[in-house]
Amino acid sequence: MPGFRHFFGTPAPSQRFRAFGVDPLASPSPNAELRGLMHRLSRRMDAAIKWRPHQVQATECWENPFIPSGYTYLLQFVAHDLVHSAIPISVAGGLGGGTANARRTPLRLETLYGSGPVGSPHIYALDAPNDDRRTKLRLGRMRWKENEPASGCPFRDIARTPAENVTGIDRSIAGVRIALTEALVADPRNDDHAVMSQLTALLALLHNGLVDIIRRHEGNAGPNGQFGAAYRRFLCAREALVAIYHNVLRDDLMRRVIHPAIYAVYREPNPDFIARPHSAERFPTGAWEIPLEFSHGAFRFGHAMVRPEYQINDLSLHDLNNTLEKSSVNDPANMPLDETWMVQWSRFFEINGSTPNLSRRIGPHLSDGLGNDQIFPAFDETERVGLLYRDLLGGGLAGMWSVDALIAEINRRRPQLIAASRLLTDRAWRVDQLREWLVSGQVYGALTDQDIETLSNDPPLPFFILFEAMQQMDGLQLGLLGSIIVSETIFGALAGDPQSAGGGSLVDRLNLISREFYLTNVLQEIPEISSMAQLVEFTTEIAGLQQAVPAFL
Amino acid sequence: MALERMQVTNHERWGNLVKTWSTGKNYLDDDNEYPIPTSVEEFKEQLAKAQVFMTVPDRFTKVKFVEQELDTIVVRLPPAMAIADSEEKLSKPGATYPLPPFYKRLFNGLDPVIPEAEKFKVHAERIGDYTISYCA
Repeated sequence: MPGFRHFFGTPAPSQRFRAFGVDPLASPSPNAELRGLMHRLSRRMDAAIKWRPHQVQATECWENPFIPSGYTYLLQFVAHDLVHSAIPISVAGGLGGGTANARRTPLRLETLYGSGPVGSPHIYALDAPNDDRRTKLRLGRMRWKENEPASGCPFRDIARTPAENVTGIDRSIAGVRIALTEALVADPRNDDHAVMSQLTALLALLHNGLVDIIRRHEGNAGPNGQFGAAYRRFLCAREALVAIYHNVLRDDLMRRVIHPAIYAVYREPNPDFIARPHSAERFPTGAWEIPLEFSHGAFRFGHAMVRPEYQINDLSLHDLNNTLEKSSVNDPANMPLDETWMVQWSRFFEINGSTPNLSRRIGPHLSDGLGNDQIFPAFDETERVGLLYRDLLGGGLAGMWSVDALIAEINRRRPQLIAASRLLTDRAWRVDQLREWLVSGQVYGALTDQDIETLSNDPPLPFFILFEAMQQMDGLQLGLLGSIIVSETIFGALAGDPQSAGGGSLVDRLNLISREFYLTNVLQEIPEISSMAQLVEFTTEIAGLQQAVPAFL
Repeated sequence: MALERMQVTNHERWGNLVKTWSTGKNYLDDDNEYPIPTSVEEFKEQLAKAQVFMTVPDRFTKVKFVEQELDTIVVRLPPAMAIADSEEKLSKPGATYPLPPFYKRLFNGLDPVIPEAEKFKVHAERIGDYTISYCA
């Protein structure tokens, strides 16, 4: 399937995940047995996990004090920057043309920039009245619920617009409010919900601030050079933001979610990857393929980090259902976002001693709001609603490596990576642990003895990654197998990028980027940024949002 | 720490589960049995079976079902601590008054706006209403 590959190459049939011993790829559609099994497993996972309490009393036992909630949505953003399919495998019912991955250049912020000002002009603001150049990303004005100021609201939302339909459909409320059904963003998934669109707006603000910095230093291009100057400015700002983003992924996001022993291996310059598909040092441009075992297996762990409610800013607490509903697709008549949805970033990242929303501990259970039957309705004969069943079924239908076969292959290639984990190296113990957990909540899924045997002997990968994190890491980080799959993919993508692979400090890389476009270093006022907290603080400063109302920081 | 509240995800399913408990007739249109639960654990299991996806905080250790009769006034007094918790939240300027999402559908699709000056009025009205209302 275009844009996808398998982790260690295509598995032999005997190496693939099976349900009741049957290979879903060899089974005629609609895979009723697999659907039934994933349905019952998803119901078993409805039972809340009895986490060990933390020593800090103020933290709920299901919260993860080491990963603030902003990282949950940075992970979602990264997923959008790695994979883009027209339809999920679970809903399509199997692998096919519509499920191909269109993202062929990973982690280059295509999800934010689209095809640039020429290819995707609708997401860029006009620089000049004659519209001969665009360099800044569009933003939209927020809305105040009451007391609309005469001067207009600040540009704190993503851009949204109404559009008339040839079908005659109109979601506006006549005489009251026009429906803003269209989000002007490169990737519609970046308006999946309120926190996602606010994160997109944060990165757009940073890009626009970088454009201003470059403009101050670039000199006068003269009347005939303005188009070329604008394009250089755009490209320089984009490369700078990509470099900052890569630094944050490597030094902050991965450090938080990956098992420390695996992080130490992959954080080193030129790590020795075990599942690189390309013989060359870097993959050819546009030839990126993502492992299904990452996209439909390990990386689904982010769904387990979603909280049931969010303190959006000092005044607004919203539950997950409200949060998920807030998009141009689901709630166009209440767009743009009002002040209660303006994310105060110190509530999502730890900034100067702030107390942010904390993500959930990672384990085989999702927040109830992800069972919303309006946002994730049933789509097959199981009548199962919610995101979890989609994750499990998509993984089952993708023909992925089985957990046993993955462990065997890692053990063959790099045994030292998993030697410390009894869960991975002692198969009999692993099966016992899985069986014990499945039996303990049998009533929830109405799991049969046969279900428990097949699931404990051949667990679906997305489930096992969550189970491993719970069992091995107390839900605070990924376990070894999850960490290896995520590290191979993300550090692999970073290593394949010429800018990122060079190593060195961010300041050094920005200097090199600047000199690709200018004679001097126009990016010298950008500090070393290696965490989301620093990224937010720098954005606050260059966008002049220190005293913003509603608060930005 | 603020008081954790129960949160319903799928309100229609929740209503149908209540109707099922009340009448003995299955309103969920599935093959499951829904006897009135006698413990929080059974309560949670039935919520899961019915795909209500309700978040039930750990502080709840008991469940009590009250069958109302037509000739008896039942006044369900909320815990004083819960009222104090709500009042503290609402007294912050600009704090939002939470309403379940189906209110928006009933009010023409617009997010309900409760003016700052009326937050405590609405709070009192809702407490009064839900304390004595028959929900049927």
